[in-house]
Amino acid sequence: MNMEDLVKAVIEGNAPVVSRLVVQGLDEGLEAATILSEGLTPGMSTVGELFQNGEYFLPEMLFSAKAMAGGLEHLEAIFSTSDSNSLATVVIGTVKGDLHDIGKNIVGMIMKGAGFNVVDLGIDVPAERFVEAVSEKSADILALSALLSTTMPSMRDTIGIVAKSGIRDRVKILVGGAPITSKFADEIGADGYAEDAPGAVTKAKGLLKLS
Amino acid sequence: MNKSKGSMTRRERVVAALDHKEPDRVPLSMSITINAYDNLKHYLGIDLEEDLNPGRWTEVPIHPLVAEKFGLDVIWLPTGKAHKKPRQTDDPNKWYDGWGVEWTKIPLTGGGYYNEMTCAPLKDATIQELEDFDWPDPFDPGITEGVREYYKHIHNDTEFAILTKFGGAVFEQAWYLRGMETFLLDMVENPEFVEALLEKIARIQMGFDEVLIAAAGEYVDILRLSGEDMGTQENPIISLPMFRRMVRPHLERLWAYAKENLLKKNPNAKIMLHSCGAVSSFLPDWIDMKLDVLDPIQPKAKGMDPFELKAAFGDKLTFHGGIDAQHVLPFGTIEEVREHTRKYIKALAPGGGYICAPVHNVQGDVPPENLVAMRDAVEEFGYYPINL
Repeated sequence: MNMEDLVKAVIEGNAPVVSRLVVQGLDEGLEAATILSEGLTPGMSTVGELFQNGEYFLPEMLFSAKAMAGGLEHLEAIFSTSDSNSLATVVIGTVKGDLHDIGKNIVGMIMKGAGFNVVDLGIDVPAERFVEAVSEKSADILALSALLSTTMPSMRDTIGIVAKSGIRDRVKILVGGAPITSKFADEIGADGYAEDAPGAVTKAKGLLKLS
Repeated sequence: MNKSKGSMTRRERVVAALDHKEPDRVPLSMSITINAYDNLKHYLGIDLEEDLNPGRWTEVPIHPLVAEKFGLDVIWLPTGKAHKKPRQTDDPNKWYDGWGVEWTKIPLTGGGYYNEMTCAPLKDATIQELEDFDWPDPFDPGITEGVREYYKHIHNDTEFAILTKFGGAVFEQAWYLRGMETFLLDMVENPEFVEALLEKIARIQMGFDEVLIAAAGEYVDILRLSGEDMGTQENPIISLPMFRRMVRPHLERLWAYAKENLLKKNPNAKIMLHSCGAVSSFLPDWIDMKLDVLDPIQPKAKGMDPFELKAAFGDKLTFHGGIDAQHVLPFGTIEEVREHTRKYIKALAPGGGYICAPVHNVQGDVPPENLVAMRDAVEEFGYYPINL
């Protein structure tokens, strides 16, 4: 299997070819982690760059992410939970009172493509649920999303409850969403802010000192 | 009803601005959600019982007495309600709109609620199933019931310029029906479905335009074509080539129909598009599609600097909006609201072509003091000639 073909197929969003090449790679004895790190991840990284450069937009990014996710499914069956090949674990969700998820979903997809283990709690997530998931999954990153000015207070409250629960120093908190700014992130005690999905990957790696 | 301050009537002021002439003062416009409206009425000391039915975005019409006391120049009037009941539910927190989209009332921190879409009726539909879907009927007699009489009354008995929405969105309605993520994926992997869906929706919206323009078009000063959000905070939602290939043909036909028929009724009327987000790359196309007014000029969105927009497009577009609702109005001090309003008047008002307004339906977290500060800033800085 030619890894460049896999990278290209991810960039083009060619789901059947991505799946075929991933399966072919596994059949040829390639490690699942290698297929991820040398095939799917560079592909999605390029997609992220194309998005940031204004060449790809949401439809193209979703199309590539869907193709990548299809390939990843074959690999996830092989990754064992005790021998995790992921960079780190991210718990992600939209805060209580907020039902918007497309931005959060894209961040989750791009982070998966970058090699993170992503636990997506969905929308309208109470703070206590975030605390529970961070503890259960030993998460390294807690990523919070909000779209409305009226749900930004919920982001602040969530961080407050995380702090009160005694797990604050075990996890890095990343925030994002349309009305969120780095100034707001600092005010509410988050560790970082990113304005888009590729930025979230960069920020998360930076916070965890990963290359 | 009392006359506004200044040398022009409210409507004269708005019409001048729309015609790219300098009125006596920058006109003021606003739309508002139910909680913010109740707070504002209370703050202004207005004791007015109203039977309010919030729309999909939890917005309510502002009563003319409130609009006058607050100091608006533009009043947004509702249209009629279809006789055919939408799908019903026993859940008091859920409801369905006329398109079959499910909405849920989500409680807000601090009280009140906000409507959110919670189920897209066409999320699993095939192209064949589109024909059998229970589409809204623009020719339902309820749609125009009472409209002509009310619009005529406001036009004849008040000074307000009338803003309204008849037929609504095409692109945005498509993703309400399909789910945003599914629809955006459809645009790449299922273009025939997208074409069929947009064509169907546009035809229905044209029907709404047809009946309502016939009923009350001569009283309308600004026809808000729709809320077609084409931008996120950072980028356009879709590329310009994709817009031109897949969306523009439907919008162009609809806008041309609306404008042609509206101008037959009121030759001075203008068509306005609401499109949130980073949409500056679409403006040349929208101008080519004969758009007159752009709303809302979202301050924090990329590429929406008001000085740049005025320089590039100010001779062709009137700008409606500008007052930030993501930070300044909900969280800003009175002084920050004043300064922000001053900046937008400075940028957009010279030469006319600006109607000041919050960039979205005022949300429940906006203190009424800040709305008053915005209004006061228009009074302080908005008289022509603008020397800021």
